[in-house]
Amino acid sequence: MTAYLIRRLVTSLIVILGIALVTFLMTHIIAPSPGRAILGDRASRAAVNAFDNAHGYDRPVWVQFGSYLWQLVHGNLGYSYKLNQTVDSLIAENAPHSMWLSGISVFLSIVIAIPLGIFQAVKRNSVADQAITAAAFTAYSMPQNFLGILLIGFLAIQWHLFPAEASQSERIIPYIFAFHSNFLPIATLTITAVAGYSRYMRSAGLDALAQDYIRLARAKGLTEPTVLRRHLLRNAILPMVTLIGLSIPLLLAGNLVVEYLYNSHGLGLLFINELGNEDFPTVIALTLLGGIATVVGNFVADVALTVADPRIRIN
Amino acid sequence: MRAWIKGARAGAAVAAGALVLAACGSGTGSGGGGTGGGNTSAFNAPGGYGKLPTQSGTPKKGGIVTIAESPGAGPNYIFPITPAANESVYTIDQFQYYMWRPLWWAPQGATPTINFPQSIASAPAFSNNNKTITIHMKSGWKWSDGAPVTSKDVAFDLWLTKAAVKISPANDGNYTPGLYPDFITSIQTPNSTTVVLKVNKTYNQNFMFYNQLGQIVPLPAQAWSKTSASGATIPFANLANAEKIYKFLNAQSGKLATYATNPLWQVVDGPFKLKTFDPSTDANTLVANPAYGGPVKPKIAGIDNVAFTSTSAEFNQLLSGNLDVGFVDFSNLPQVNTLKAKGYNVWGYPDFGFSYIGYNFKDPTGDFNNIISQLYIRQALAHLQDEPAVIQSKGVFDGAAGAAYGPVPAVPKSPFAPANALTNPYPFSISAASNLLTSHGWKVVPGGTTTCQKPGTASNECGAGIPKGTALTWNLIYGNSPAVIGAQDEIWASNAKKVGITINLSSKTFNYIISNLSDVSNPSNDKIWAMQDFGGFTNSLYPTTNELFNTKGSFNFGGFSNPQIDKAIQNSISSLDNTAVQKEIGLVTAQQPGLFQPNADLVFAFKNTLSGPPASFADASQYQFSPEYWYFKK
Amino acid sequence: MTVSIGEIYEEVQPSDVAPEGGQIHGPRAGWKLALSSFVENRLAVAGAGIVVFFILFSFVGPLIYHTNQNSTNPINAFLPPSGAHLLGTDSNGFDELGRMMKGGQAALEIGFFASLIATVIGTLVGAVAGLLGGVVDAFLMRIVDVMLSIPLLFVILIVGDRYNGATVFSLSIIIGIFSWLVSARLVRGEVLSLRVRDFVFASRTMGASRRHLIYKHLIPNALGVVIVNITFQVADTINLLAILGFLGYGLNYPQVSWGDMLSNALNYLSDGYWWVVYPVGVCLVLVVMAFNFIGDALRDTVDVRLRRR
Repeated sequence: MTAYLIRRLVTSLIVILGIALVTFLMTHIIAPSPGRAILGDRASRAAVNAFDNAHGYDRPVWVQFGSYLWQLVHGNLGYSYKLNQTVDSLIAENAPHSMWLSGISVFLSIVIAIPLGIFQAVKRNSVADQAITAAAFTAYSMPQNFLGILLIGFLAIQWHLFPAEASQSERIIPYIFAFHSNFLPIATLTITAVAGYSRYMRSAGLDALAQDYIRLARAKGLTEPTVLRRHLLRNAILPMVTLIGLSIPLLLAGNLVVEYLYNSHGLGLLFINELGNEDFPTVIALTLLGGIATVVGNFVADVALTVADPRIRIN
Repeated sequence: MRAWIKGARAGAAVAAGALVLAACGSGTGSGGGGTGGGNTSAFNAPGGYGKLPTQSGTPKKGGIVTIAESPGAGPNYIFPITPAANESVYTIDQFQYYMWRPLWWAPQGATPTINFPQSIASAPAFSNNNKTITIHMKSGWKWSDGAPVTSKDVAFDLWLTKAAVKISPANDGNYTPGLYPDFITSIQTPNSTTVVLKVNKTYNQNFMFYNQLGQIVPLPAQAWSKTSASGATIPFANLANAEKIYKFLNAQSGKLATYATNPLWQVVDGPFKLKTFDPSTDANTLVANPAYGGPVKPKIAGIDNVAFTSTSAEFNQLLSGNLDVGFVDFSNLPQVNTLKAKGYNVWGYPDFGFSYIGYNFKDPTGDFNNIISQLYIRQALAHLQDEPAVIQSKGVFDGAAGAAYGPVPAVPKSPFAPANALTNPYPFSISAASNLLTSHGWKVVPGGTTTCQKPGTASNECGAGIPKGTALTWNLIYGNSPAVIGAQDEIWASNAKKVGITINLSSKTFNYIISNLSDVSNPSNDKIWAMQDFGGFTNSLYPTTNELFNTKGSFNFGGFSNPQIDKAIQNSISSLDNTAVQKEIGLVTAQQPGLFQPNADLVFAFKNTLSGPPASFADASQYQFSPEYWYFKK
Repeated sequence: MTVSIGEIYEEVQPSDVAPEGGQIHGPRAGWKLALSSFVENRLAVAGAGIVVFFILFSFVGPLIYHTNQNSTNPINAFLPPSGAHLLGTDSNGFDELGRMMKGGQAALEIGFFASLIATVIGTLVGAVAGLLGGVVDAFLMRIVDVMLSIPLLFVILIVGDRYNGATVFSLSIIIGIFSWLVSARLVRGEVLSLRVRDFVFASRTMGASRRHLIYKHLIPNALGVVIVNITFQVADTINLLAILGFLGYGLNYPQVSWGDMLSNALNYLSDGYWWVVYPVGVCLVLVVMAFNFIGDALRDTVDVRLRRR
C-alpha cells in the first residue's frame, strides 16, 4: 500500500510540474512582454524594452521557466500589474469566499444526495424514483448559468424571496453568515451537484444491494434500516469520496459561473474580471492553482479510497 | 461609455491634456454667476435624459453623502501629478479634486467651459505675442494648515511637473513632449498673488489657457517641499531639488494603505479631507474641510465613496436605497421608474467628448487603405449610420444619448463648436450612400457584395489603388463592454449590408484593443484590423484633435493624414487666430477620419432627500461631483 | 473541467477497467443487439426524437417561418410576443423565434464539429498510446493527465480571449482541441483491454498482421466507447458553449448561438423581457438532455457488463 501511495505521489508531482510548464508556456506565448500593457500606449519601444530587461522578460525561455518554478516553490504566484498587488494577496483576499461557497455546497449536496440516492435504489422504479431521476436529469442537463438565471428570475426578481446577488462583504466572517444573501448561489451550486451525485449514488446503491453481503445481512434477519445504515450506506459511500475528489474541476468551473452570475467575491469572479483586464499573470496563476487543486483532489480521493478499501489496489 | 475608457486606462483617453480639464466641473453657487445656474430647462434639452433635481427644502447641516464609485475604477493615486498608469477621472475628478483644486475650475454645470467664480485665479493675461503669460490669483484661498494659497504654490507644481516628466515621461498622464511643462522657459513669482510664465514660442492663447495651463494644480509648498517625512522643507526652484521632492512624494503616493494617515495628504485647499481609505477596494471617506477658503463651504459633513465590483451590484444598492448618488448603466434604464419610485431623481447628459469607430488607413488587406482614403467612401459610411434610431432604440441607448457628428458633439454644446457639429452633414440615408458608391463606379448589390466596376482616378471612378472587382468587405473589432458599443456597430453593419458593404464584427476586451490595435508604436498589428471601436475620447475644453488626426499625432493609430487638417491643427495650437479650433473641427467633421457616433449620456440617480443648485448636479455629467453645494433637506 | 458531470461517470465507473471476461460478441451481432436494446429504451428514443426535432427546427424551420435575421431594426427592439413576432423581438429588433433557429444552427454545428475534432484526436492518441505502449504510452498519458488537470473552462476562456475570431469554425476548433483528453483515455483503456483478450491473442497466434488486428478487431470494439463518448461530448460542448456565450466569449454578430442569446439574461429579466430568456434556455436544456439520454442508452447497450445483468 505504501509503495502504491508513493508511486501515486510521484506521479502527482510530475503532473504538477507538467501543469507548471503548461501555464508557463501559456504566459510566454500569450503575454511575453507585459511592458506594453503596464506602461501604456504612450511608452516608447525603448521604454518597453527597458522594462522587460529590468524584469527579466528578455532572458532565455528555460532560464525564465527556472525562475518561474523557483518562485512557485517559494509560494510566489506572480504579480498583477493591473491591480498593483501580488497574485498571492489577491488569492488571499478572494479564496476564502470561493472555498466557503464550494465547501458548503459540497457538504449540502452530499447530505442531500446520499439519502436521496439510497432511497431511489431501495424504491427502484417507483414513481418517486422516476420523478427524482427526471428532476436530476433535468438539473444535470442544464447549463449552470441557466439554472441560476431561472432561480434569479423567479425567486429574486419575480417573488422577491432572496436577493439577486451574493453578499458583497469583503470580509469572510460576515460573508459566511449572510445565508439569506448567499442562498441562491449556494442553491445553484448544490442543485447541480446533487443532480450528479444522487444519480451516481443510486447506481452505486443498486450495485451494493445486489451484493452477497447485503443478502447475507438480510438473511441474518437484520431489520431493513439496519441493513441500509450499516452495510449499504457504508459501502456505497466509498465511491462518493472519489467522486468528490474528481469533481474539483467541476466545482472550479461552477464557482466561476456562479460567482459571475451572483457577483460574489471570489477567485472565479477575479478570473473573469482580470481576463477582461488582460491581466494575464493573474488569470494564468489562477489556472495553475486550479490545476494543482485538481491533482491534489484526485490524489486525496485515491488515498482515501485506498485506505478505506484495500481491494482497489489492483495495479 | 467613455467612463470605461478613462477608468480602465486613462492613457488612451487623453488627447492633448484632455483629462484634467475635460472632466472638471462645478455648478455655480446659489449666488454665483455662470450660465448653468438655476436654469434646469437648459439640461432637460435634447440629448439629455430624465429630469435634473430642482433646488428645494431647507438645508440641514451635516450628513454623509454616499456616492457609488465606478466598478473596478476607484482612485489609486493621491498625489495630484498623476502618472499615466493611474490617471482616470475617478482618481482625479472624483477624488483628488475634492482635496486639491486646479487653478481654473471647469465647466459650468454641463457646459464645458471655465467657471471663474469657482477658480483660484482669474483669466491669464497674454502679451509679447502670447509668449508671456501673467496669472493673478484671488485672495481668500488657503491651505488647511492656515497658510494662504500663493503664487509659490503654483510655481511648486510647475517645478515638480517638470521634474516628474524629466524622470520619466510616463510620470504625468497629460504630458506631451514639447508641450506643457516643457515649453515653459521661466517661472517667476513677483509677488504672492502673481505668476509670470514665459514660453518658448507663440501658442494660440485659447489652446494655452483652455488646453494646457488648465493642468496646473497649486500644491502646498510649505508642507510638501521636502524629501523625507521628518525632514525640513528645501527650496524647490531648481530641477535637482524638484526631482528629489517629486521622488519622495511619488513614493508616498504609492503607499495606498497610508493615504488616510500620512500627514502630507491632510494639507489641502479643497472642500474635503481624506478620512479613511481601503487599499484593497479603493473605497474611501472624506470629511468637510473646516478651513476651506472657496466661495461655497460644504454643508454636508462628508462623503462616503463606496466601491463596487459590478454595475449590477451598484444598481442593486440604488434599488435598495443605500446610495445617495450613483450612476445608472444603460442596461438598467428600463428600470428607471422603479428607481424613481424608490425616491431618486434620474438625470443624464453626455460628457464633452466623442465616440467613434477608427479607420485604419494603413491596412492593405483587400486594399482597405486605398478604399478608406476616398472621402466619398467615408461619407457613404457616415450616411449609413442611423443616429436617431440608435439613440431611440431600447436595445441601445433608450433615449439616453446626444447626437454627435464630429469630434465636437452637438451636446453638450461647447463654445468652440463649429456649425457642422450641430447639424448632421451626413444624415442617415441608404440611398445617399448608394448614390455615392454608384457615382464612383461601384456596382451596388443591396444585401450582396458591391464591387468596383470602374477602376481609375477620375471623379466617376473608384479611386487610386482600387482594382476592378474589389469588394467592400472589412473587419471591425469592437470593445465587448459596455454593450452599447457592439449594439451600435451591429446596427451600422446591418445598414451597410443594404448597400452591399460587408463589415465583419468581432469583439475584444477594451484592454486588448488599446494595447494591440490602438498602439501607434506597435505597427505589427496594422494589418489585422480595418476598423476598431473601443469607445472614444473625452475632449479637452479646447478640443483640438492634434494627437488624434494630425499626421504625426501620438494617438493617430489609424495613420490618418490630411495636409489641410494638419495645417488647421497647427493653427489651433500656434496661431493668433482665436477661432482656429472651430475651423479645425469643421474640417475634421467634414472629412470623417472615423465614424462619429452618438454621445452617450452619463445617467445618474440622485436621492431626493439631497438638494442643491441644479447646476451642481449637472456637473456629474462631466465626471465632476460638487458635493460642497449639496445638502440634505430638513 | 467539463460542464456536465457525465465524464466523471466514465472515470469512476469500472467500465474502463478491463472487464472480467464475459461473453464476447462478434462485432455484427453486437450492433444488432445494441440497436434493439437502444430502441427498447424509451428515453433514448425520446432523446433521439428531440435531437431530430431541433435539427429540423434550426435548419428547416427558417424555411417555413420566414423572419428578417439580416437587417437590424433598432426601433422595434424588445417588442413583446405578438402575432407578428410569436416570441417577440430581441435587442436588435430581430424576431426572437427566428433568432432561436439561427442560434440552434450554431449550437448544433459547434456541438458536432467540436466533438468530432475531439474524438478524432482522442481516438488517435488513445490508440497510439494503447498499441505502442511503453515510453510513448507513458508520455502521452502524462500529457493527458496534465491537460485533464487544468480546468478546461479557464483555458478555453484565456485562449478565446486572446485568439478567438469567434466564428463557428474557430470556436469548434478551440473547444475540440482542448476536449480530446477523455476520449483518448477511454480509447486507450479499451485498446489495452482488447489487447489482452482471447480473440486478439487468438488472431495473433494465427499469424494475423498488425493491420488486420487493428481494423478487424480493435477499431470495431473501441468504436462503441467512442460513439458513447461523442454523444456526451456534444452535450458537454453545447453546455460549455452556453457558458462561454453567457460570459461574453461566444460568437460574434451576426452569428449567434443559444448561449450568446443569454449573455444579458439577467438584465433582460429585471427589465421584464422574459421572452428573450426563457424560451432559448428551454431549448438548451432540452437538447443537452436529449444527448445525455442517448449517451446513457448507448453506454448501456455497448457495456458488456451491463448487458450481462
